[in-house]
Amino acid sequence: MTTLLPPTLLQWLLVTALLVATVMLVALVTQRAVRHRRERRRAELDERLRPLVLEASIAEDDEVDALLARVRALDGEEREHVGRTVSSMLRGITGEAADRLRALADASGLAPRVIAAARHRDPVVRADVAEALGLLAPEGALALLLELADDASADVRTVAIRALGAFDEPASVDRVVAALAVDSGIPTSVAASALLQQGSAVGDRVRRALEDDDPGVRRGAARVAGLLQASGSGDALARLVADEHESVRLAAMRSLERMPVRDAVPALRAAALDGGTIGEAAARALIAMPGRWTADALAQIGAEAEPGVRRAAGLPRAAASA
Amino acid sequence: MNGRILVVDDDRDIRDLVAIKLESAGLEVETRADGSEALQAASDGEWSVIVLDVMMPGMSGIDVLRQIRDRGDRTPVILLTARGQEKDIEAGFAAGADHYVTKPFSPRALLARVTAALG
Repeated sequence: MTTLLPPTLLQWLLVTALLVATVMLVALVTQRAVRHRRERRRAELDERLRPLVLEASIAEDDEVDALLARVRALDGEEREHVGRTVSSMLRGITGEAADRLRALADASGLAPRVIAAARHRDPVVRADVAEALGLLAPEGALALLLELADDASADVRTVAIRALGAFDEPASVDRVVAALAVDSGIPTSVAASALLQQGSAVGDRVRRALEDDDPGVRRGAARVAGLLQASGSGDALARLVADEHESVRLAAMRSLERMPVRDAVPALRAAALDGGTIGEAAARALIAMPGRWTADALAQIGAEAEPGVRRAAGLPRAAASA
Repeated sequence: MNGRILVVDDDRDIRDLVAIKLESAGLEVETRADGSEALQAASDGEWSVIVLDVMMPGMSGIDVLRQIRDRGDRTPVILLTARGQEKDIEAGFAAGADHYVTKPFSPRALLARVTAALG
């Protein structure tokens, strides 16, 4: 059984539907027009202001003040665009050019805007702030980044740890080392890269981290020690070849490939003879060391180790089958 | 300083920053944004040095370099690699790279590399 709607109600429903559709269409067209206008405006600003930013990146000392004065004379929207452009460019460069761009960002008033957004409720904005703080390094950036490194959002914490790589102060180094811990929620590669960026200033802290109770910290420190060629970390790396955690042993062996330590040879020999992935890593570390240290160990490996380990040691087939 | 430099990077900022730095030293610079454009430019022109980003969408810098070398082109190539990507450096040298610079880098240091490559 079907019930027909009264004609007036039907008419009212049709008109309403038509109105809703019209409003939606107008909203869509308006939205596209606004977006188009914004993109066009941004392109206009970019065409005009990008050359100024690029010019600043190669400016000589006596040209900088004039460039900064030009930026200060821009209107608010233009200065904001300069700030955005500088932030984007700073991701790829360091050195003098980066210093020039930071000065330009300062003149554009970017730093206060970034700092003001550090406690924004949107984690995406806070992550952007963390990245910008690392790039611009304005006064107070370190304290804010340490705060953001404990943010409720894991993404924000990760970006903050990465950004802390730009600061080699003890508080920053300690926080990055702590991020190597197994349960930190920060990818090891991010924390290790940040430590690498902090450079030679982290040597002492990395040496201590090699003895840490947390296997994640030991693993990350072992990885970074070799990349930084951290002097004085050889003994600890040699001990980590026999660590209870396989990932720590592997990281130590990779570092020993770059930074040979004679005292590590007995442990590497034993690991190589045990075979498997660890054995292969141990063999690679051994062949990276001076032959006069490793001749006996390699002879024994050639005679007794499993084929994969012998191959990793680069032993010729004849020696391998001896 | 004389020389024609081809700069290949999908990141417009890097292309522009490198180009303006090299141009400020008197070098002639052309830029390309991806691997296939780079291959085309490499075969169309005579270059003194090619600055080539490794991480590009589609054809990577290593693939581009391999194809350039397969053609017998010995133009000096400086790779731009990401920090911590040691495998890229190994693969780059295996493919025939002459030097590498790790991102983020100092444009001044890159210019020094280019100058050294120019001999």
